[in-house]
Amino acid sequence: MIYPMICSRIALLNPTSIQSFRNRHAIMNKNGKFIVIGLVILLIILHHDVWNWDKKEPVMGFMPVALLWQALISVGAGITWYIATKIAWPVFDDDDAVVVTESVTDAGSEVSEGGE
Amino acid sequence: MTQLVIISIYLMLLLCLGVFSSKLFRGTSKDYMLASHSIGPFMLLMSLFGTTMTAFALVGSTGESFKEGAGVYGLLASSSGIIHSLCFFVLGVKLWDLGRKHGYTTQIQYFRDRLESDRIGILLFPILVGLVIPYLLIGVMASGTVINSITEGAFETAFAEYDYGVPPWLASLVICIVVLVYVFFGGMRGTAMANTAQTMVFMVLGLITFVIISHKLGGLEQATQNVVDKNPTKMMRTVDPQDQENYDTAYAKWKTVAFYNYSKRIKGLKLTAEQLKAGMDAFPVAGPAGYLKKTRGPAVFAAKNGLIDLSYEEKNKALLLQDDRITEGQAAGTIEDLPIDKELSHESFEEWHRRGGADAIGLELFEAQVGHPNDAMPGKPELKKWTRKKAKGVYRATSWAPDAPRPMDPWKFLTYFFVPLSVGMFPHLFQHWLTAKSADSFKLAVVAHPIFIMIVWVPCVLLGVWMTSADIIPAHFPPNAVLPAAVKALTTPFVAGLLSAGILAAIMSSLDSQFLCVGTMFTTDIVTHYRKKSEFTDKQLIVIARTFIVAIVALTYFFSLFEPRRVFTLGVWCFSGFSSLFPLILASLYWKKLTKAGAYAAILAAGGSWLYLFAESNWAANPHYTFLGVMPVATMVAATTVAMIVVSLVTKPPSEETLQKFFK
Repeated sequence: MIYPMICSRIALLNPTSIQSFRNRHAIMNKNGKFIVIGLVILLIILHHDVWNWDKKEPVMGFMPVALLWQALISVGAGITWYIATKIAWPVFDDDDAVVVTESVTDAGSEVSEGGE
Repeated sequence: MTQLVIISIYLMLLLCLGVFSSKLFRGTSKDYMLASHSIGPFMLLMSLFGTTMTAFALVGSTGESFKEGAGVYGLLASSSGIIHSLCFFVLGVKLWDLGRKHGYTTQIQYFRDRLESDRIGILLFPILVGLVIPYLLIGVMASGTVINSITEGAFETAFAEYDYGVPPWLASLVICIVVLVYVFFGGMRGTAMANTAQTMVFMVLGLITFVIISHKLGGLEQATQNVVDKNPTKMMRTVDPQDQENYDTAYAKWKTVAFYNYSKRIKGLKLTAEQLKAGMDAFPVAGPAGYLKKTRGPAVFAAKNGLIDLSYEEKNKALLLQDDRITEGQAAGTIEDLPIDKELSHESFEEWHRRGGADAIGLELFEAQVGHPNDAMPGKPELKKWTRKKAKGVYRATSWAPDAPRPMDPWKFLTYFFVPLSVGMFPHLFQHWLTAKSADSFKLAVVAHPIFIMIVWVPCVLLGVWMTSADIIPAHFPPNAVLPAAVKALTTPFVAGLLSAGILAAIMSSLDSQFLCVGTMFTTDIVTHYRKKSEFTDKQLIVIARTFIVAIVALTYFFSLFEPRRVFTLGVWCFSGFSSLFPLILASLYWKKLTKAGAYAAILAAGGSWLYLFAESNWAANPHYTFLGVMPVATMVAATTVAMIVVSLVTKPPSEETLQKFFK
């Protein structure tokens, strides 16, 4: 019980583990940004649905195609932004608390694997 | 009267909420303006969404889809779902971080610091406040229209000239006062709480009303089928051949009436009593109060019997006169630039602006029918007396040219994408961003915003489309009044009262943030910036902020008393102004080479291009105005970007210290 607490204190003072987390996050963030940019461009292209311009028959008996397609774009936007919060969310200074917690967990795992 | 009681109770509840939130007020100006950076994910989502969804989203979207069809959702709603969240993500989170580190409360503080220029604040302040005013105007104007429409007949004898309902000027005034009171009591915390409560109110009540109305129209499928049968163009973004054919026929008939009326009023054509009777007897449709038979019957008779003989010039004058674009005096004289060798097309004579208030003639024509809407028509107990609005509406629908079916231009549709960029420069959103407790508080708002837009806009757009074919709302009906008119006609007074409260909730949840923001900007960017902050106590600063807010609200209220514009059109112009400044805020965060001079050039280009194009559109009177075939906002954004980049590249870059501060 006491050992993890000590580890967490060390992690608080250990800039290397924080840096390592930041580096990993930065790589994921960079790739994530490209994926999100790609998805946003795809949404913008799909938004310009000229192929639906002259469709007047409703879908499901009541929904104009012009409205349904664009409503689906809204759903797509919601999904895209959900992905963005998972893989491209920026890290700020006050997120160090999160970094420390993760570092502590990492340290704890390493200790356990070591048979302590 | 039921509607009025429900609206009054709702407003009272809001005042109570304001008083309650004041109990949580910490008494400091920071708490008043930024709620001490304490707003969590849910309240941040609700306040950001409630602030961006205003009269524009409910009243404007319904009215616009009534006019333009189902494509309206794609114009602004789906693009906003992409762009708004993009702005929260790319700008909001970063600005929140900078604001927290360097203690910013307003955009101008940030720009002064980032651009190393004190005077940029002097240039930006009037522009930002000036652009907030039309935004406020949308809400103030729409609240008056909604309350007046929904309370028609609430009074027995008072306000006869407002159809015995609450006059729009009084309704707008009450709404302004209620919002002022709860903003004054609760500051940003009260505003965020009220926004959260009101956003839930308008989303839930909106959906309930949608279900009730669709049921009244015979169900979802029947309501849509009516549109497919009667106005198929409203279902798509091109013109249906059947609609075009119907319009061509209606327009030809209307021209006959225009030529006959001109011949009668200007050239002295007079049919004999027998000819008049023969014309009326032969005309099959009586129309409201027999008006069509009286006016169109003789016109058709005269045309068939070759009694109308007009030159091209006279025909063109006849078209303009019938559509109330010129007076009888003008029709009798010479009109500059009027073609004399060919007949004007419908599209070209629309370039002559319609005379304001021309439909008031309906009040004279239908004087016998107008009265208290709860009274029966003399001799016809099954019919009710007409409201003044209906008399004007019947005149417009029977006298003005029929609306031409209009396709949606793909280029215009594409360039509408620039309009939602405005969110990046809304000063009230900037302030809301800074209230966040942490960067993670933004996540819910970023993800849920597009879905919430869909929940609010889809029912409104469907409702607007359905109203084109439900035989409830006539042609040339004011778009701003479509939603309240539909609610009044298709629901019970109790439900109508509830939905009106919902519409007002949406309007007020934007007004409050905007009110608070202009006060914050004035105290922070002008008062304490140019005089030492220590000269004022926190209490004095709050009083100064409130005084400025009252002055701006009074100015907006004054503007709202003039001829109203379409909420949607006015909104698009207001948003376009903010969008034109988007390149500046984006570059300030991500482009190290942005210089002070580049920023000045950008602001001047944005302001200049906006003013020029707004004037060209006759100050939003022309809702179909485009520049070079695309939305004016595209030109504004392009002008701002070019000016900013070119000037920045040839002027002195910012100091190393500033770059370190903002780009480390």
